[in-house]
Amino acid sequence: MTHSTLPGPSLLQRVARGDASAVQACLDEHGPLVWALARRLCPSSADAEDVVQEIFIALWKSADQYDPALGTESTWVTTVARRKLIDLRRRVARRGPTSELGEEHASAARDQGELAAESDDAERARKAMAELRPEQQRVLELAIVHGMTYDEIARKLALPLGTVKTHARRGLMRVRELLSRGPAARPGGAT
Amino acid sequence: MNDPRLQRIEELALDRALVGLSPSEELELEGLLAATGRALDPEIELAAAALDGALSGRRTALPESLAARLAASAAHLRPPAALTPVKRIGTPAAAHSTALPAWSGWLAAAAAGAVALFAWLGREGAVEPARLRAELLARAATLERAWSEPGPPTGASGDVVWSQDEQTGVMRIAGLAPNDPTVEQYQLWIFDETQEHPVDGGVFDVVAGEILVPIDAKLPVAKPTLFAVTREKPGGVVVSDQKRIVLVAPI
Repeated sequence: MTHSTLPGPSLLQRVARGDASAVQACLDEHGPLVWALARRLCPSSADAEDVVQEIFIALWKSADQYDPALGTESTWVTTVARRKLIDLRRRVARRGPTSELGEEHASAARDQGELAAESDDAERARKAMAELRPEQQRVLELAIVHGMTYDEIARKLALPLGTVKTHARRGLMRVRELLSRGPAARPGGAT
Repeated sequence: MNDPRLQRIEELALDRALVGLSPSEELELEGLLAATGRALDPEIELAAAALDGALSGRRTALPESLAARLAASAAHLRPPAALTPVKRIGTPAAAHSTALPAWSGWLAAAAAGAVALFAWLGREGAVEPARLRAELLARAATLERAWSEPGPPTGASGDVVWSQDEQTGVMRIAGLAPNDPTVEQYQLWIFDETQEHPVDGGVFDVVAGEILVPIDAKLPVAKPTLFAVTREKPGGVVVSDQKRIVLVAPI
């Protein structure tokens, strides 16, 4: 993740300016991140491929809106991807019983050992997570990593729905506060 | 935080970043933001994204076939910098804006990207709606569906013409009650089987008689199932409560 710290325009800024070579570089740079997010939260490879295309089209369309001063490219990409993936999961949930595949994929990915994100963003977020109460950590992990809804988390942990919401909201708010105090004074941190 | 509305905005913003919102919650958030003049805290969604990065597993390369498709599709896109404003023609309201002032900074990109999509997809600017309608109707794949009134009949009629390939169309409407744009406006919605919320098709006004209104879809429509016209507050809304549907045209 060196692009956003190099002098000159970032990858997304180059895409916005019509630099054709930046499109391929953007796919090379962020493709694995987006693919990992999609495979983790989509019930099938076909769904994952569809949503990855939606995510990249959204990224390219909005490339001129990316401002490196406000966050790293990977955080921006993750934000756009998460929005699409949350929409997808809500659509899938309306069609029928929620699949546990997302959780299985997530567990499998994590069982492979090595955590992918080695940026300052990830390191600072990991430290912030460690400062949370265990129940807040668990709820946030289920919501973010496994893409579970509050109802699903409440059932899984046998907790009242209101308690789950409280843990999730307080936990994320605390992380937000801790990240805002970081060395870069912004939640995205430096890559 | 003494104002309970601000507390609720924060709750909804946190839920939105973690698990997403239902249509009714989106509407509630929109209303609260409009009522308080506040904007969403962009750092909440950034914090969720940063946590996601921290907790994610190993990354693997995109499948080659998918990477090739992505690169190919990108080749057909034009950069936003090259876009020029699309002229609005016919009767659509000139001052169309979303009612959600919350998106700030680069978190507004999704919405901004949607606004730019018309030109991004390489569509032409000023085309007379009558000519556009005729051109579309000359193509075999164009959809043409008649409007019907879901409520008590008022005599409103017409049809909607839509080209899925070109993501454009024209509404023909007659007999719909004229509106005062300072009080309310009409808004088209395109229901898409693949999307949680209907796609905003543009805000327009009715003066009198028969009108032709070009459709201004703010997002790509994959599988349209229904076109619907609602009455909304001036400028339209991001998510309609669909309480005042005046015309529908099922696909």
